[in-house]
Amino acid sequence: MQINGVNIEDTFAEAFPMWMTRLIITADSLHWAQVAGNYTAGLAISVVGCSCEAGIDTILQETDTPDGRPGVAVLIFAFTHEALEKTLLTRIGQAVLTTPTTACYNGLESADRVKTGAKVRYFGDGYQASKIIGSRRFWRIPTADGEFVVEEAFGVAKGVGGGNFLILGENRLAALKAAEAAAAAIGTAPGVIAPFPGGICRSPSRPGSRYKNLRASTNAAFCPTIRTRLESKLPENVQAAYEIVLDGVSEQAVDNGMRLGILAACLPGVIKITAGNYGGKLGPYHFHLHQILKGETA
Amino acid sequence: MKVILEFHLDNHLPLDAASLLPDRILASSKPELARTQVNYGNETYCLGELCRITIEDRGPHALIFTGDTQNLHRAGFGLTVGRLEIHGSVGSLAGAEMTGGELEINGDAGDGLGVAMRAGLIRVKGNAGDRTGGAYIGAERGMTGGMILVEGNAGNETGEKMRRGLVAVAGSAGELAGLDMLAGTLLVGKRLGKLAGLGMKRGSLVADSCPTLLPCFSQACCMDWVWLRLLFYELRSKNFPVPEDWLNSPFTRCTGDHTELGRGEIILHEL
Repeated sequence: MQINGVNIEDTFAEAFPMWMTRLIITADSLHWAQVAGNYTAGLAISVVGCSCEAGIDTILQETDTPDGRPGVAVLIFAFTHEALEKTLLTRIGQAVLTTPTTACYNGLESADRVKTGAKVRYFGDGYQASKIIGSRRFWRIPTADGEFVVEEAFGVAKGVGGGNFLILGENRLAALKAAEAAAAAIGTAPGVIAPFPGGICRSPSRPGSRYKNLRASTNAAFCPTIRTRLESKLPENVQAAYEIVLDGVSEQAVDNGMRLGILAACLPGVIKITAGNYGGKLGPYHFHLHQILKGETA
Repeated sequence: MKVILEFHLDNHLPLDAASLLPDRILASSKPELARTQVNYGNETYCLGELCRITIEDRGPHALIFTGDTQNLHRAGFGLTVGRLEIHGSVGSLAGAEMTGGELEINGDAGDGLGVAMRAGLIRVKGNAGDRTGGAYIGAERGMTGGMILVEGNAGNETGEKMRRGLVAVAGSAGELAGLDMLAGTLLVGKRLGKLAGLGMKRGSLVADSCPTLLPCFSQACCMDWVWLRLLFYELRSKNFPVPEDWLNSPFTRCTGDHTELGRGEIILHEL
């Protein structure tokens, strides 16, 4: 398969279930909502080394938020229910509560809920107050600029983590431009995030290492500088590669994000687009590139 | 399916409507309904003697009271599920002890509207009497949940001993609004009467103005309150008339009653 002259390898990305939640963060201005969103998703790049993976899913207009202020929706993914609950408390308490004018609401309807707001409230040191509005309970925590309003409980559900594709370029600039285009396109897709810095990963990894204490190590087969020392997956005319990793609220969201990302990445100077998998042994979700892009060939 | 009870009550005796609840009435046949016993004055009558019963198979499920409804007392008492509409004004204790469902009164409501209510929704198109959302006389707690929306004015002691839930009054409230309030929210679109918030321990009174704020309340600050925005949008979603200029206005918070816990608040649009 070719799109805009870029070869699409007949392979699949292998993804796995992760626990996820969705926060709605609002503020007096979009700037401060984005600041809070970015800090909430700070150092939440890969579960290889972080407690979770997180990112801003979408910008929310005033009409789309519970309090009529501008906001952002943040998706957070973790391997276990407990890890998600723990990191949610840390991130709301450290990043959202502390950011000027913010409020934080549940953005995921689910029967499974974690009462993070009910724990954050203790920061109020006895001066906090609760309000039940409709069927939802909120906590009002006094701060120096007014009040931090946080919803008592946040929905959690199973999402999909580890969707991916790799962009193989004839040089680093071409590969990076294509990766930037892909990350921008994924940014417009609802329910999916690309958690790596700028949405792009320059260091694809594989599980395990020759060093026994490491959970993951560089995916040497995609590193051009050592292609002569092992069985490389890079064609001869490829000088650089970038990986895009996606986490989504559902299989469909990841599928859509990958489709948009790959289509945007098919730019001049890109030799091939492929995907990472482990022979189907890692996760139950398989995103076959040719199926995702069916009908998109040109 | 709709069941319409058109009452023809030719004097001012009270009719106890507590047993006329949607789940029971809608499950009954017309002859069964006609034989249903109700207390009218100090005697017991068959429902068929006091009203005309009409059953319509079309439309959403609802029980409708119409005709001479002003002497119906305890309408919707203990309502748990379903919808009761009253096309006219109604007597005292409407919606008292409700635990669910929806009560709509297209007229005025008497005293004790939603007393000891625990859940559900009451909507009054006209005015409400005294102790709306309050407590039975001598009881420790008033309303403990649910929502009461009054599009007109409310009487004295609105939200008295309220523990949880929301009472919203588009007009003004009488004296002693939020008397001995324990928690919950009372919103008044216009003015609070005298002695508002007296004895309140926790909870929120939100109003446009309060000409005679008690000295046991202290002014804290003036700002745009996020939780009020949540409240206003929730009310608007219920088609309750929230003034346009409230949505982006600062409100002044006064805490009190400082002769009690002092954890209550009166939040005013105009101080």
